[in-house]
Amino acid sequence: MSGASIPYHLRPHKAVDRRLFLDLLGRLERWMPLNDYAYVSMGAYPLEDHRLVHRVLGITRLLAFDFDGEVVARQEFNRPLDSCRCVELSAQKLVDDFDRILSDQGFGDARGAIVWLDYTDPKQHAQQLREFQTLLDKLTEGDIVRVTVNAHINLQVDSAVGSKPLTKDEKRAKMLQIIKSKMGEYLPSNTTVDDMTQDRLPSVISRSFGAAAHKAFQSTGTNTFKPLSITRYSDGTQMLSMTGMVIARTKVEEFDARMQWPSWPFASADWGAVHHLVVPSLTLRERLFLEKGIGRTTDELISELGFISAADVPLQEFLASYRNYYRFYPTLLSADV
Amino acid sequence: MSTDQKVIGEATSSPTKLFFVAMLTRDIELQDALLDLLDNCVDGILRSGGAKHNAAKPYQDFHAMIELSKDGFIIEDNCGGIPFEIAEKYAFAMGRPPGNAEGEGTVGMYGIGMKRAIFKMGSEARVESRSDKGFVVDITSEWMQDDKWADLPMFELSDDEIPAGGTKIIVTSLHPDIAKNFGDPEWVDEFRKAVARHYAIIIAKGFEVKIGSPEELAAGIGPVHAEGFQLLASKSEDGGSVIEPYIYKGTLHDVSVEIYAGLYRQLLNAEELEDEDETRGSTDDAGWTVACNDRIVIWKDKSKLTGWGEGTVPNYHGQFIAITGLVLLSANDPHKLPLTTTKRGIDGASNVYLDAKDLMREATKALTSFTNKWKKFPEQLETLYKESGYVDLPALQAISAGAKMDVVRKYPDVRKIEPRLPVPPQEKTSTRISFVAEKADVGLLATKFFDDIRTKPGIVGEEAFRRAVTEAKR
Repeated sequence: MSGASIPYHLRPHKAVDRRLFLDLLGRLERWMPLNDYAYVSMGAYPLEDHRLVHRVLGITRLLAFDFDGEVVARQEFNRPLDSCRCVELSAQKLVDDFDRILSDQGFGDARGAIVWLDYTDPKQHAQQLREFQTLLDKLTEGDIVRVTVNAHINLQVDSAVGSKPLTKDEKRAKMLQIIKSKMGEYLPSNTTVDDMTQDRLPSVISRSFGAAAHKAFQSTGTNTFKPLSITRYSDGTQMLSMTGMVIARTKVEEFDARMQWPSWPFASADWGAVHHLVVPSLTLRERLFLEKGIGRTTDELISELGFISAADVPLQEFLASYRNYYRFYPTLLSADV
Repeated sequence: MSTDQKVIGEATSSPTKLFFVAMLTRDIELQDALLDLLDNCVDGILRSGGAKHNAAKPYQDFHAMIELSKDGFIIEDNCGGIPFEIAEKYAFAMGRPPGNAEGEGTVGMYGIGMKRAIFKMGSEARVESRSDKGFVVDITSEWMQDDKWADLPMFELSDDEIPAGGTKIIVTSLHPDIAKNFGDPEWVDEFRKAVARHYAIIIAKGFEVKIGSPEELAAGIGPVHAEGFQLLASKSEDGGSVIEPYIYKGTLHDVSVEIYAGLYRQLLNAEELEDEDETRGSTDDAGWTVACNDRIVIWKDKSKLTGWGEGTVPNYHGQFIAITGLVLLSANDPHKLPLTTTKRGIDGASNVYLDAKDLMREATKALTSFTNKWKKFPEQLETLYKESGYVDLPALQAISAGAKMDVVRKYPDVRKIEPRLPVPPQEKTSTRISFVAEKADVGLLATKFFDDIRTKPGIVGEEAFRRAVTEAKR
């Protein structure tokens, strides 16, 4: 089953990641108001992120797109407000005709654009990189881009030759060969087989997107595309989300000072800084207990909880990062409506 | 004009420094200017006789380190140093006097590389080197701004600076754009990739290059990995046709020539080809690479420069994505090579290169015909691919050393291995059908035939045709 068709309430990591994005956008309002921006995102059929950016930031220029007409028809039904437009488009078409599509939808007067390219196909990284670069070529100061891609290891590798399964080393070598042949010009120069692991692949992909950004905004140009927050998470399949903004090089220092990054734990100063989100699903009772006890030590909390891992996630690891994102943790309850 | 006419003045004809500092540097990209400095390192190894010529890795134990930051540039090597006399007479002069070529397999020939690189980067520099006698030369911003070509004083190098055989060039007061590039980790990584490509053969021969910011170098960043070159080849048990590379080897106009061309990956299927036409989905591994004395000057070119779209060779197109080739030109006297001063691209009018291009076109044409014939029968070709393995450059060179080679009629000093590439058996009896259909109809048939609406349109079309033929033959 593809990620897009799994109901959102079964994807707690994706929910946390989306809320982090919203929190980042909120923080960016310290630099510039976003309510006059256009928000462009695939959104899938529930249009959850469109709903949130409207609620939290007051953005009314909302554009949802999908290449599947059926999804668009469903989006049309789920529009969170009247000014939300839903169009049948591929990501490629969107980036190729970005300016025209915005103005065709009546958003040509937007002060800036926030674009989220939410990809799932693990075999199309090269095309995703090129679409990202093409989009950046068309963006101007203040525009914000978020890209989500599949970063799960070995999805592109046939796991066996004949009846014999490949060894770990063979798989890694094969994976490197595939990734090199597809993303060669973007791949960091020091990528080796040792990077072909679940923990390290996201950084390789992220830095490849950094190289694409560099191709769009050369070091000597007026503007740069600054990475703001990069996270990886897994609701079964590992995904990588990268968010950045076009900003004048001369303003970066002032911007960083205004954002007070040290007080926001998910900031990424460079393309290699990937944060790992670990979100086991918690019962309401567990969650309320943890929130109340957020100031106590991890050992104290674990001893009082009486168990050391939740859904395969060791509590030590989880609690260390939970302190950073408990604010974004979704409470998902089943309801009989 | 007669000699008894009265001289009434003297028209200045010497070059202005501004010409060198501002204009000459415009004609070269920053990356290429830095590669020029690396070329000097390798030329240093050859000049000092340090290369172990017959070894597999002749440049083993030689290395260069390049430190890049917004505040300055440093290149440091152990490649033999600059001999005192060369420093005195040529190294800091603009251009090399006639008869003073570096000689023996080098790529330095114009005598402008180091100066142009320094001018390109900044306005202050120091060059320290220790070959037979250590020296330091400072190039100051005052000297750069002054329009006179005053000789630069050489100072003695104290014993604790620069080990024997070492050279260090430091450039400071970087120009603003250069400082921006050097301070940007993405630019630095792009430069590493450029070195990985242009120095692929030299690194494979043992030369080690480390590139990074002061912090990365202090943290022990590893050397640049060479981009490999490999072709598919398969062994035939029964002497039948197999996938094999084209090989040419010999001498053209006193330049030794080796050409290897073949396939390096599978052909694209119809669906991939459509994607490729829409966006460039794959990397640019296809195309021709050309090296002069091991220094790669053309990387994966797919244009007329390397014979694509010339004569009967088709223009490059996504369908030819699997075709790649490597040309190695070498000569003891670098003036015989078709090198340009920037060493990016090639002197396309040189006789050596024009003749080599005849051979390159022959191989390209044969390989494009091969892919054209097989594109209709991808499944059968896949079996051929499965029987093939990759062969790298040393192995390719070994093939040509051991095998019996055929004569090239036009060039008596060149021999070739021209493989008999396999031909699909049904080539003459089959033809290709392609047509456009309504998605809904394709989905309808996909469900009817395969019970899966996501079945690829090509497969649905084939099945529909197969059923129609069975029906008609009944």
